Amino acid sequence: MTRYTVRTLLLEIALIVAAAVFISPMVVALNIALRPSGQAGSPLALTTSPSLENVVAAFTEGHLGAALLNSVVVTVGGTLIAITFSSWAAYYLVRRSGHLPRGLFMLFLAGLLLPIQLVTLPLYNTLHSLGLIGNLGGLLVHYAGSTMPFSVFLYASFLRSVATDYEEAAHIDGCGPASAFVHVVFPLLRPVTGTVLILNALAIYNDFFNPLLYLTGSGQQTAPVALQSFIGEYVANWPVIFAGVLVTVVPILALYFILQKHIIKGFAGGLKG
Amino acid sequence: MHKHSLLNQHWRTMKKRHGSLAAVIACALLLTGCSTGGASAAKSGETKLTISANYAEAAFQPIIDAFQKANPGVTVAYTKLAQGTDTNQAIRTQLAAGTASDIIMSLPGSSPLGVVTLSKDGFIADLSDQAWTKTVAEPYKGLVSVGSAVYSFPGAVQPIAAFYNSTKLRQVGLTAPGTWSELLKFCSDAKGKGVSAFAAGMADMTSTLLTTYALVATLNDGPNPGFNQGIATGKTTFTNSKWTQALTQLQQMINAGCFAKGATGMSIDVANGLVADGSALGIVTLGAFFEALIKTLPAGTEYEVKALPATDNPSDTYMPGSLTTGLSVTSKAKNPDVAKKFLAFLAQPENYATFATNYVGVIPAIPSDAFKAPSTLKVFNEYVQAGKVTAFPNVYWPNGEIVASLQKNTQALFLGTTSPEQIVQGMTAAKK
Repeated sequence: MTRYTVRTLLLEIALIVAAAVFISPMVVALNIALRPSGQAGSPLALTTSPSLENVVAAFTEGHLGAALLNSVVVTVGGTLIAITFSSWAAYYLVRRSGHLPRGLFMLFLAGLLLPIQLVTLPLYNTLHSLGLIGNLGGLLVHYAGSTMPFSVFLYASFLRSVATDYEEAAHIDGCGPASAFVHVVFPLLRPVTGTVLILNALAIYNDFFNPLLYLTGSGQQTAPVALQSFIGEYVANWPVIFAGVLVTVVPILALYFILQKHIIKGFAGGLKG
Repeated sequence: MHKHSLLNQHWRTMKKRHGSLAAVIACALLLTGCSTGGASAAKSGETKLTISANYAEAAFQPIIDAFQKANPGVTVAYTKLAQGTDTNQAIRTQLAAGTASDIIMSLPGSSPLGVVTLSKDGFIADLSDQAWTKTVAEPYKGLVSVGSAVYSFPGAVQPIAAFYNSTKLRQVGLTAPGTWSELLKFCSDAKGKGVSAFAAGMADMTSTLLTTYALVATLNDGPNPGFNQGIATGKTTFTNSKWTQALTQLQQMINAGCFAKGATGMSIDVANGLVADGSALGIVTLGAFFEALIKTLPAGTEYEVKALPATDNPSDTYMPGSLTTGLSVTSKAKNPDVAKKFLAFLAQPENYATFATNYVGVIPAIPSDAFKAPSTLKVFNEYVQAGKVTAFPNVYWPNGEIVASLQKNTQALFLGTTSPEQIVQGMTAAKK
């Protein structure tokens, strides 16, 4: 049993102060989000009569409900595609020897270095030719491609540290490469899968530019694009924006809490090469 | 064998799980198309007109509804955008691919969505044959044109003006100044009463320029029409102008304690709050900020809007007025004729008046008898009628570096680390 000393007390105080510093922006956001329109005062002044009118405005005027659903669809779809394809690709690239897998791996790594601005127009033109502009399918195709290089890199780095003994045992038991991957290798990749999942989910969920580009004019939008509709030419409706932000944070925060154990494990062990 | 049967069992479980997963994905893809309103799909046989701009739906939707009512068979799909680098890049990508909306927002000048840039790239159509182009008021016609060709429907005009909390003015026994001497006395008197004359939210870089633009309108741009156009051609220079005097007067205001403390790091919302709670008597602000400012005032507070004086002769005073975002028809519009019809509809006096009224803080750039200026815009409207309005100077400047230099150095002037002469030198250097 650890004794409660002055040092422990000081540590506790330091941690409480640090927590207060980290949580203060959220408190300010909540304070402004709950402030009814017409109530004057500094952003730091406590809202005396809290109201949910800004949350209601975010849903009714900003169509946040449908936008959130679209965000969830592209995030779930994009992340699943990234995990499925990149883990298979990395398995092949790491476990097969020869020039082709090495060359392909280098090609994936080159994708990490390529500035996205360079490919925006050609990619947009291609998706337009395929009739994928103005719907979530186009966005999913975009995310499938854009998340692959980093995901393959993470999976490949992790796979190199995984011993081949289990796969060999599976082969002896009659598994082919695909079956061995599904039943033996992929479960071993759980830590790095957590990392890939959370990094891609965050990137896709928070992405503003691509949904703006691919969905403008279609009547569909994702949550970040819906929130920007409250930014006027010169004036931003901060109370509604903060209310929307707080609502928007809920799904990704829920995902984090559900997967907390795996994510921490993933960050701790998922990047080991 | 036992291990193999375990694997088989595992495989069956996986198949079930994958089945569920596939069902989830299928559902998700079926959900593709969750409409978020605004831009709705046209029914078969209907013409769909697409518009992407940054006008608030409250201001624009009544016009869209009226247009749809007047044109059965036409559906207008409006996408509300926020101005910014991402939006500019998205619109330009769509323009290059030919998939942009029929009507897009455009700005005066040479920014990525400026009429000069867009027309040079061949992205927007020449609208000179439209009847409404003949009625656009000067100096705004020049801002939506390149040479003699008109490329944009002017949004509306908003002023830079001094907004005062009249209730607080009465409380402290002061009146809003009408001359430069009165302004400096107003600042010292306010200080004596324990309040600031003006709040300033200079954390927002646009607000950094407002007082300077108000002074420059009277001292330089009003008496010298064409000065800012001359900057690009080299006919005029900042050094041989009243810019140094305007910035010296701004420095005098700073030294006289006209502005509330902490102006350089203050957001516009906090600055508005100071006017609302009476810590500051007024604020030099944009028409677009009026509504937000009025909302922060305690119920029953009276307010007034006046031009900011720069000389001791009130008849010298000019007010700066800026064009808001305009609308251009894209070169590859799917329905160019309907798009032009929409702009002509918007240009009709009663429709333009409705738009300007709903926009709040602006007046029409095409004179409209149907427009009844609210109390906050009465003074500005009088200045417009009297031809005493100048456009914001930076819209004519040949690059964005000049205004960036002015913004940065104005902050330094507030901090006391630069001089008016150095600011003018910086602007001159940025022009090259």
